[in-house]
Amino acid sequence: MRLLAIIFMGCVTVTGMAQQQITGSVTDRKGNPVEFANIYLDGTYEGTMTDTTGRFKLSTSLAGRQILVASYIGFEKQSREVDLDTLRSPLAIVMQEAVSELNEVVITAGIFSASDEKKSATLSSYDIASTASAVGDIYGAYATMPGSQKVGEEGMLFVRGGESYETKTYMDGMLVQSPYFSSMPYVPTRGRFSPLLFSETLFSTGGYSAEYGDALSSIVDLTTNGLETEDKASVSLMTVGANASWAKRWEKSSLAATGMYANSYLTDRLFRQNVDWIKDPVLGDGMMMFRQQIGENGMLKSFCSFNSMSMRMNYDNFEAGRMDDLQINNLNLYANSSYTDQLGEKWLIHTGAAYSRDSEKINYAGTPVSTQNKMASFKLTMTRLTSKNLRTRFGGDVNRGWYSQAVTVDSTFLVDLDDLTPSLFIETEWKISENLALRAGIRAEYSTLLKEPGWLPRLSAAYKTGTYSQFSFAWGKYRQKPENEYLRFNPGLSYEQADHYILNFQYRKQRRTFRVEGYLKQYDNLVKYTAANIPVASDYSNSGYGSAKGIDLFWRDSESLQGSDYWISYSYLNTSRNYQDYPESVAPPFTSAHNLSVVYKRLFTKIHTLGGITYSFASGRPFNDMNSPGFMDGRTRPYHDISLNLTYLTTLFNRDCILHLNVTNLLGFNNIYGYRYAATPDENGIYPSQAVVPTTGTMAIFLIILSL
Amino acid sequence: MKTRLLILTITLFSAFAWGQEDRYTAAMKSAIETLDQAAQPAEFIESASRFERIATAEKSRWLPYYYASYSLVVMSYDEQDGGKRDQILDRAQELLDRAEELQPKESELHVLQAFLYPSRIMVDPMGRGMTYIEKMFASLETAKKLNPENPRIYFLEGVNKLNLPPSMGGGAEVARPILEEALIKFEAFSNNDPLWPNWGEDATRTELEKLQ
Repeated sequence: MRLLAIIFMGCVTVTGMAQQQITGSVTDRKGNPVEFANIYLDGTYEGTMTDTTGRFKLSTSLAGRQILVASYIGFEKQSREVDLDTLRSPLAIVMQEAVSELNEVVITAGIFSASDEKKSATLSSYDIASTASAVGDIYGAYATMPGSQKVGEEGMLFVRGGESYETKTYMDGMLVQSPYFSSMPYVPTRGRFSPLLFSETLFSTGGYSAEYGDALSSIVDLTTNGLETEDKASVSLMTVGANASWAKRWEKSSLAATGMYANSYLTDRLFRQNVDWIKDPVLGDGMMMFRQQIGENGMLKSFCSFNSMSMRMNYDNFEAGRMDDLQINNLNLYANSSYTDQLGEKWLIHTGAAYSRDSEKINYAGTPVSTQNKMASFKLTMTRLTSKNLRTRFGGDVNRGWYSQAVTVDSTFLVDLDDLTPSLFIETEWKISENLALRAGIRAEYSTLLKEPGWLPRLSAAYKTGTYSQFSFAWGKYRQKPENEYLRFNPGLSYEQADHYILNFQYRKQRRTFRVEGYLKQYDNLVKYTAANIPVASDYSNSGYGSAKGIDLFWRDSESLQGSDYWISYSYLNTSRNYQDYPESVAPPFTSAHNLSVVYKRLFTKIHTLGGITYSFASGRPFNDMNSPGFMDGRTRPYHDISLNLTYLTTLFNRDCILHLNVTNLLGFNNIYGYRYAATPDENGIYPSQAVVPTTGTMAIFLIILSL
Repeated sequence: MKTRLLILTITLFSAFAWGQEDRYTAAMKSAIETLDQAAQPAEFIESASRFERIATAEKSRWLPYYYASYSLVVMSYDEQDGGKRDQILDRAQELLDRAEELQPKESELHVLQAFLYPSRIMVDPMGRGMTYIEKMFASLETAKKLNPENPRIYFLEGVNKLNLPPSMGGGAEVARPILEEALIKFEAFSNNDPLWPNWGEDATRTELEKLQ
């Protein structure tokens, strides 16, 4: 019984022990009180909350050493060891704002990213798909970003005074050889891949990482979707064709496939064409995507697409003063498989292989030209996560390219260019402090065709000047193989080169972003010749040069207007180059000094409609006025476009249904892209001219999607 | 004497153990009460904080994490500032992920996930709508696979339909039978755990009354 008494006494002592009171206050680093912070002793039930003045009072019956934790949404959790027996209140706790993706120091120089996951992204993948002037084309959407130029007759991305070939596209880390569909002269093309395939895209207008090679001006990096979220199937009918898509999800894998047939016969009749089509463009397209999750973090992605396109027109050869029969048949196959995983705590691996094959048969006025472009690539990168603030990526890729062209005039001329380009890169990202980040890398390249090893350093940094603002800087050396159309005549050409210097300021508060970026791009070793298409090697050299400098402005506000979202891009460009057959250094015809885009989107909740409108402006483009003594001193009149899209969500036959209407050049502006001149002057000594105009004026596409 | 001492010790120990269990249940019950009565953001934060404290002491239980996350999700719907709402939801998602690590096959966790997504959508309906609506439906599907008798699945489905116009396959006529089914499932639903989530039943009744 005595024992029992002792035990009971013990219990009484425990429960009857004096309550200890801890008091204190919590502030942020600026001294402002943090209200509603959770203050508790770790691993116990004991805790309290700060009041509106940031003060707290915690009563506890515990004793001895404990861990006191302070936590609140938006702040770093803070713990400290306290000895409750000797503790002296009040405590002063200073909490640090958590480094979230939104206020983290991130290198932004030259980069526009679109992502649904990353909050630091400027756009979402839906933005890419829904920009009115883009008509569902990735490149069209990025053409509304500052730094890109409006070149309506091409439909490709032209970045900061660079030609379209200076922008390269990557998919899941692998170089894509022919990202655009084939095009006819003065008829714009578009990207091969639907924006809906990608959960993340990145558009860099310069200063990009050492991971990317063989691009002088810009890269577009596309990351395909992960696992499909659910089983689905849909069919769509468009005024330009039909599309069916299907997806199946298993627990750890998914498979998706789409098939499309497009034929512009109908729209070419409905909207007056400035092109004399003999056979309207027809496209057959198939795509398959397989995903398999492996282990906890591993993901295997396989992508395969195939398309076939054909078209034929009476090409107005104004220079020669006759109509030529021009026919193009293109077959393109692209396959890409990649695997990413985390190995242990400290390593990430990404590896992939890709194969592409593009064969194009052109028949120009009875002359057949058959071109085959094949490429096989392999890539491996490893990332070492040394700490939260230090990571190093390194790896390499090997691209094997085969290019062959056969031209038959009387007899057949054959060109074969094979190239093997291995490269290695290493790059370190170091967050030196909360406000300062540095990225330094170097890329080593070699080409068996050009036989010129190269060391290309890249450096960028970001410095935060406030919670919402930061400066970024980027510098790098870039080079690119000359285009095959020159290499085929002179395989002894060397790399074209560019140096990038970029300074960027960004202010970003929640869902408003302001950016201003100044840049200088110095070109060297550009390909030069005396006249186009002369098949004499000695006529081609690397003596061209040029520069581009300018300022890009971007403002996006997704917050101020309820249900609306808009962005404004403005670019000023000052560029000149002396390349190709130019007699002097001038601004090339694909550039314009001022480019402006205003993109506005609005959700009409009551009528379940999403509306978008885009206004684009470009100042006059240079053209070489043959009747003026100067070179390239003509300027076209400015370019204007207003495009509109409407998406209406409804149900049909008890199934989800989307109706979509896209109208480009709503107001029917008569735009002029440039002028062409006859090769010989008329009897008065004047060269007759013809304006290069869009293939259509106002144009509308209607689409209905029905989910099955 | 020895036997009596042994029995006594065992009794005391089990009482002690029972006391521990009871401490958990009592703390949870009291925090659930705070949550049930919460109306102001501060009150939701208070209940979330209390659940988080319990979670740090009871690391192997998923319910404290679940309730902490739930408190924040409910609160997020009243937050007008998109940036702040995202911060709250980030934290709610973190807590939910912790719960899911402990109990990946729990239907209730997927229901909560489906309840969280619409709040994300409302920050940026145009940019996020498509992606998160799909994710929400996928979560409800998973919840249904794990436990088709969970009434909260049908409650959320019904409310979703109610918010959609008839032209999009929604409206009162479509929503009513789903909410009625939810109510039947609520009435039939039982769980041995007195701390089991029980939200949704009153709201289902309110919605149904509105439809009468």
